[in-house]
This record gives sequence, structure tokens and C-alpha cells, in this order.
Amino acid sequence: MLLFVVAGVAIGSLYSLSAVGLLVLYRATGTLNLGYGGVGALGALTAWQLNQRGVSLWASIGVCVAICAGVSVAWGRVLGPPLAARDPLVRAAATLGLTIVSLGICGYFWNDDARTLNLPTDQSGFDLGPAHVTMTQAIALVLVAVVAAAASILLRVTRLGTTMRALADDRQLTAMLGARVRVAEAVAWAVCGLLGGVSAILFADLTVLSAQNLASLIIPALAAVLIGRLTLLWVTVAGGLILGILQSMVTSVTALSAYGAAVPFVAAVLVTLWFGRRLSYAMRGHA
Amino acid sequence: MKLRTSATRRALRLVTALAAVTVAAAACSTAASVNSDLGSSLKKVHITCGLSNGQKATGAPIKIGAIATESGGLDFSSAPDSASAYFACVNANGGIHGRPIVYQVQDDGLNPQKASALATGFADNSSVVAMTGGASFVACSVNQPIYAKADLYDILAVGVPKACFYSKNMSPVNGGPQLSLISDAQELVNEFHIKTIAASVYAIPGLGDWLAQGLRAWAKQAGVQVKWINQTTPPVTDASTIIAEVKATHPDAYIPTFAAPDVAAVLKVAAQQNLGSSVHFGCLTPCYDTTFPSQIGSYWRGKFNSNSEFALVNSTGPDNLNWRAILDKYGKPSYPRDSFSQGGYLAAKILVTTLLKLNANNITRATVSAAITQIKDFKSDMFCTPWYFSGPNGHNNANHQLHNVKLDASGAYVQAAGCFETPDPALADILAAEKTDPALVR
Repeated sequence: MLLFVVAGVAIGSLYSLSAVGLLVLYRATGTLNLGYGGVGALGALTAWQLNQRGVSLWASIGVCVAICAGVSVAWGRVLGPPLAARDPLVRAAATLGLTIVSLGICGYFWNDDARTLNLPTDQSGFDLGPAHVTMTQAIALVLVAVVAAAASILLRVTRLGTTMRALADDRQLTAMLGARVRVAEAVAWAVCGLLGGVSAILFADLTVLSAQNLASLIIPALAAVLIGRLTLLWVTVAGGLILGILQSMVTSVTALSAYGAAVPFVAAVLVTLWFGRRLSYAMRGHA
Repeated sequence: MKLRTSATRRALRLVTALAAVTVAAAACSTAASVNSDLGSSLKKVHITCGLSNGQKATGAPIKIGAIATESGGLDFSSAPDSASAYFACVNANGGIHGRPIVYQVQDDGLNPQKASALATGFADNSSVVAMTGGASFVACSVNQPIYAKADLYDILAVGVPKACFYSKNMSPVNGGPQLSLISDAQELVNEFHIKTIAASVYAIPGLGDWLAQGLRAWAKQAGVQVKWINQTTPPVTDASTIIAEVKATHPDAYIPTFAAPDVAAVLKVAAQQNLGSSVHFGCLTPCYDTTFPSQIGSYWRGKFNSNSEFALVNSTGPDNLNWRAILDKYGKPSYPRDSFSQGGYLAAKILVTTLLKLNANNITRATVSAAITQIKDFKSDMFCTPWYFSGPNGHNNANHQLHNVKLDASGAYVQAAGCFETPDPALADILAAEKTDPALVR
């Protein structure tokens, strides 16, 4: 049992990390960034290619994060304002374009060969009962806690966070009050992109470095955000971890193993049904 | 307004700079290393394809189609890419008695409905005379009735699900995942005397259940206990869980029957848990290519077996070298030099050989279909035995003697066993048919 819980927590922490990035952006701009995984795939594959050509691993990872943050900010700068007044569904659908373009670029440049991205932290670790925990897995979990705490402080304590929360309620009114709306939005897009880059590297390390796989990270992350009802940060973090553990437990039962990947989908549907009215209210707040 | 314009410009500049980094990184392809396994052998190759006369074909085009899974979580594009390179070579060397081949490859996206729509499109277009070089995870079962109705035949480069090997209108040149799995498992028995085995299969109808059934039938015959066979949807996102199960149950051998990127992820987690020293890991043909060993790392040197459904990719047989040389001249450096690419080359070559025997002015779907069903005794050093299209009662699996390879201490693939008959109980009818009609494999 412990073996599967450890495996589940490792993958769940990445769902949580991604979900935090999505949530911060959503709370500031009302945009569910469905391009999160696709852009992460582009960044991770670029990092892999650079590393294969002799660029140091950390510099390659830096490029990945820069690509994700840069594309994210650029999208927010160029298409954020014209889409700001549109329905949240339209804004979310628009970001699907990012996924399509990113996957297209990945498909053009990288074939179906096996690729692995190895972090130095993969080689060390510790035993927890029968399970071996790598440092990468441990770091992923710690990182989620740190990032969630930082996001919580950002949103609750800082002036920028106050602006972001005000934006969530009424963008036009916040702008009229003299708040630096565009700066707040740019920071939110940057945080989302930055976490997307870090998540993509860790996800590529712990699972499969392929465009399709990394693009699919958006699904469990979205499910975790829905569990947090699009507003609750720590519930979102817990949701991601629970999804990872549930997925691992389901996969471990041979008769149910084929349905492991369906866990985030099922969770998203159940949460939508259960909290339907509240989710609808949360989304209307951004309309 | 001015502020907004300058912000937009800055953002666009940022995107341009990042795009330049991505393109520059991606452009650093593996061109320099794709042929390092063959040394100087490739430089001496005199390419042969079609009429090999060096004259560009300019006549009326002959349309050939292919359906492959290139997206949706799996990518088998190396097969049609290779076929495409072969056709480009043929078109530059006289074509089919002066007529060039127009090759149309469509991606089914791992979607049976899309595969069906694509097949209908090809079937309804009577100018498409045959299908060749395809490699789909989902197309065979839905396409067979469409092809049968339209009298259209398909020489598949890579057959994946069961239906590809049990459909009258299609015949794969590869051995298929079931034979690849059983061949690899038998090799682990021969080499390590394993008594228990576990495997993971994709949860794709007609594939995962077929492989599980085949492994159990073989295991019963071989006296090996199957500990478990689990199913997972592609791409594999829970390699840690799968390896946790291997660690918990500890079979003598474990074979993930996935595509290469997914197997690499599984092996990486297994290496972190140091499972390679106590469990024998095997793989099907997708793991056998020139780049896989460098991606899974030094841990697996001397600890990993794989199957190959064709001759080794670095073998120096004339046809194998011809395949590699054609990829170099008419393909792209990014095209994988893997077994499925070999399949694409062979499928294209078989069709071209067949078309060249026909009257160039009478190449229609009817004449081509009739010729394809009569293909027998096609020899290549990439096959262990001659290939033929039509097996008994639509059971088309001519390539059933396979190779096995293993990683040596230097991290290179070396042959573990070459051309041995796959002990699959399901091959009984094919073996009987070959005995009855030796002309198939003369």
C-alpha cells in the first residue's frame, strides 16, 4: 500500500503545482489557461534538445522556464486585453490555440523517439518502508508547499495580491480606482508560465518526455482546480495530491488498471456535478 | 494607446526571441549521429529502387494511400516516412515505367472514427490503387469491411492490433506485437530460465486483451506462471505505480509492451528503484532503435533485452544498407532508423516490385488488387523467411521468425538470437499452410 501512496503523492504533487499556477491566473484574470501543458511540452523538449547538444542541464531548464513564462506573458499582453470582456469560456477556449500551436511545433521538430530528462536529484533518495523516494519526488512535494504558501501570501498580504483579487471581482472598477491592472495581470501570467515550466520539467522527469504526455498535464491540474472550486488554494493543493494517490491506487488493482488515467476526468465530472452552482457562480464573477 | 502598442511590440519581440531559441535548439538534430552504428559501410552502397535508371518519372501519377497513427498519444510516423523516402527514390529513378507515385499519408489521431472516415475517403477515390506503409493502432478492424467492399488492399508496414493480422484485405510485413512479446518472453526463458512473468499492455481494444491472451497461451505451453498483466491508457503517466507493482510482486521478468517513450519512462523509475538487478526487463520491437540505449542510460547495460521483427538495424545485408542509404538521400535526418522504418521501406518496396510487373497502361485498382493478393516468395535480408500476402483464411502473418537483441556492457544492442520460430500456439494454421504450399516461402 505504502508503495502506491508514495508513487501517487509524487505524481499528485505535480498536479497540485500545476493547479496552483492555473488558479493564480484564474483568480487574477478569469482565464483558465488550457495551453498550460502544451507550452510546457515545448519548453521541456527545447530544454532536452539543448542539453543533448551540450548546454548545461540547469541552463537548459532555465530556457524551458523562460520559454513558458515568456509565451505566457506575451499571450496575456497581446490577447489578454481584447479578450478581457469576453465570456470565461471564450477566454479558456482561446488558450486552446496555444496548445494546438505548441503541439504542432513539437510534432514538426521532434519525432517519436524515446527521450528522457534526468535530473541529478534522481540519483539520490531515501527509503520509506518498502518504498524508495527519490530526491526529485521529495523536492516536488516540498515545492508544492512552498509555492502554495507563497501564492497565499501574494494574494492575501501584498498590494499586488489585493489588486489581483480586486481584478477577480471587477476588472473595470479596479482600473478606474487607479490600480495597476496590466502589471497585476502580467505577473499572474508570468507566475502561471513559470510554474508551467517547472511542472513540465518535473513531469517529464517523473513520467514521459513527450509532447502528448506533457500537454495532458492540464487535465488533472484542471480537475484539482475544480476541486478547489476555482477559489480555494489549499483545497486545490490537497485535491491534486488526492487525485495522484487515487490514480495510483486504482492503477495498482489489476482489474481496474485500465481506468487509472480516468480518475482525474471522473473527479472533474463529480466535482462539477456536486458543486455545480458554486462553480457557476465563481465563473460568473469573471464574466 | 501608445503604451498598449509598445507593450504589444515588446511582447511580440519576446515571443520572436523565444521562438528563435526553440527553433535553434530543434534544428540541432541528431544528423551527425544517425549513421554512427554503420561506420563506412553506408558510403559504399549503390542505391537501388524501382527501375534504378536515374531518370525522373514524369508520366501520369499513380496514387497510393496510407493511414498511420501519428498523434493522439502515439506516433508511428517512422513507417510512412520511410515508405515516402522509398517512393521519392523510385520517382527519381524512372517511377513505375515512367509514372510517378503520389503517396498520401493520413493521420488517424488514434481515433477509430477518424480512421474509418479516412479509409472511406481512400476507398471512394478509385484513382487510389492500393494502400501501403501504414501503421495504425486503431484502423484495421474498422477499415477491413470498407476495403473489402471497395476491393482495396493494404500492405501494412506495421500491424498493431489483432485485426491487422486477421483481415483478408490487409497484410502487415512486421511480425506484430503478439509475436514480438512471445519471442522476447521465450528469449528470457532461454537465457535466464525465468519461471514467472508480468507484463503491462495498452488498454486499446483488440490490442491489450489480445496480447494478454497470447502471453497467457504461450506461458501455459512454456510452463511459465503469469503473475499479472495490467492495462494502462497511452501515454503512460503512472510509471511509478507500475514499477511499484513490479517491486511488490517481484516476478522473474517484466515486459512493458508499450511504445518506446513510455518504456523509457518505466525503465527510468525501475533504475531508480534498482529493480534491474533482480528482475529481467524485456521489450517489444519499439525499443529496438539506434537512439533508445542512450536515452535509458548506463544502468541498463547488460540488463535489458528487446525483440526485433526485422534484421538488426545496423546489419550489413544489401537490402538493409539500401534502406539506410535511401533514408539518408531521400529522407530526413530526423526520421528514426528503427524497425518500423524498416517495415515502411519493405512495404513500399514490395508494392513497387509488384507494380513494375504490371502493364504501366493498365494500372487500376482491380489489376493492382489482384496482383497484391498473389504476392509470394518476396525475399529480403531484412526478413528471416520470404514474405507473402495471403495467409490461411485471412490470417496474414508471414513474418513470424524474429530476432532478439540485448544491450551489451558498452550499451550497444547485439544479437541475442536470430531468426528463431516464435512459439506462438496461434501460428499453427500458418505453419500448416506453409507446409502445404511451399511456394509461399520457397
